[in-house]
Amino acid sequence: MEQNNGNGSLSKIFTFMILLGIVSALTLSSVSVFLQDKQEKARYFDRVKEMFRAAKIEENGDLLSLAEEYFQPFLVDREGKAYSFEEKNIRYETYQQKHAQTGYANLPLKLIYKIVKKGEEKPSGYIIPIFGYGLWDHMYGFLALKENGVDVIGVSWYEQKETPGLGGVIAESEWQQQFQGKQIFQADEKGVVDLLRSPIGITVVKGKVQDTYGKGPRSRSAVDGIAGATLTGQGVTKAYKDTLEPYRPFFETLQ
Amino acid sequence: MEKENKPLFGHFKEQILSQNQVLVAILGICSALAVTNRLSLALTMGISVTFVVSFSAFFVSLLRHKTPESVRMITQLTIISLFVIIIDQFLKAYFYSMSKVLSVYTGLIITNCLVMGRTESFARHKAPHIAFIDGLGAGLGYAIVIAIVAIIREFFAFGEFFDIPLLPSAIYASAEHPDRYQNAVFMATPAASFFIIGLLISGVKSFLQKEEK
Repeated sequence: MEQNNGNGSLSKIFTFMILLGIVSALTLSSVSVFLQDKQEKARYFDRVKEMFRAAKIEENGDLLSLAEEYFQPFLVDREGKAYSFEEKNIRYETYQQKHAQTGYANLPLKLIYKIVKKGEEKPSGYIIPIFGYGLWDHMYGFLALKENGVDVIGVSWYEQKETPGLGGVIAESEWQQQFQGKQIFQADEKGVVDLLRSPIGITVVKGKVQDTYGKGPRSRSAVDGIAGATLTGQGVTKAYKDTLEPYRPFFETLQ
Repeated sequence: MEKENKPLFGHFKEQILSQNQVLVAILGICSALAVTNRLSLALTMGISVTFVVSFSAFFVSLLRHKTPESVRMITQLTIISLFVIIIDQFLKAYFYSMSKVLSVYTGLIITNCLVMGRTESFARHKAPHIAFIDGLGAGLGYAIVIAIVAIIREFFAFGEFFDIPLLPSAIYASAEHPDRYQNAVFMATPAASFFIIGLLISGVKSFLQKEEK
């Protein structure tokens, strides 16, 4: 087809676009390669920061080395038995790299952290890595529990792609504040909690908790939803439910 | 070749005030609403847009004789996207927490109408250095406006300037003194910038009209 478009024929246009594409692609790949290391570090540092936020520990200074002191990773199996990484002869770094994408809850050996404060022997709580699906993409976060395995210390999300200002609110501390003091085992109407049978998780209700459950026992395992982000709320509810359920046998051993 | 009578700096000055992209051309409003509740955010965004628009304008202008007319818009978009991705990657590497808050809005610079407005209406008719200066002015004009909006919003919404508390905590309402000052939550919502930008537009317009007379 013969075409005259001001600046030349079809083949000229194609050559121009292909060259432009190649030059752009080369530039972008070199930028990406050049910055990759730095980005990886920044992402890791951010994850550590979110861990401190979930555990409600305020620390200044070298967070990376402090995290190694405070948060000790270990593994639990399907029966709720705990193992250290050395016992299972698994390297923490490789294990993490392999499973970070898909979450740890459904593995035969699940990742969990204990929070050990300076000078203390016994853990003052546990952190569970949370994985789920939001409206747009995967969501990754943390949930910190007290040493009884029931009461929530705090939550955070370190990677999510929910709509800013709507679903994205789940990453804001004002909203996360509500989780403090909630219980991951949902009491029945009489207020009875049974670690074997009670539903597990924290429900993000549509609207206000008070309108849905009043001040009843179920309100202790529910938080206010975000206006305009019902689907993200459902995703968060499901993420907590699905991630925490496999850890149930472990929580029972804490009683 | 293009004839150029205006001094180089004239393009720059024009973009800052009399041809300001946000206040006079009413372009780039969407991001001006979204990222102006904190000054730190607005400045990051302003600098990013300045970088993108000045370099895009430069390269669009550099290629202006080579670019086939029928694909000129795609060419502009490719060049703009290139710089937006570079700035996005850069923020992710060096200002991670900032890029997390800005989230999709860094990527959305591609669709910021003022960028394509400058490349399509100006850069492709002028020499590279003029296009660059014009882009720089357009970007900075945008940055100044959103910074002003952000200063106002941050002060009323959080009582802070650049994340530093300005108001003593004693004047705030508490459980004992419920009738004292409270931050205006409305100012934290994007709707607030609608009103602020509206007031700025009308202010600049009446100022420019007076100047003409």
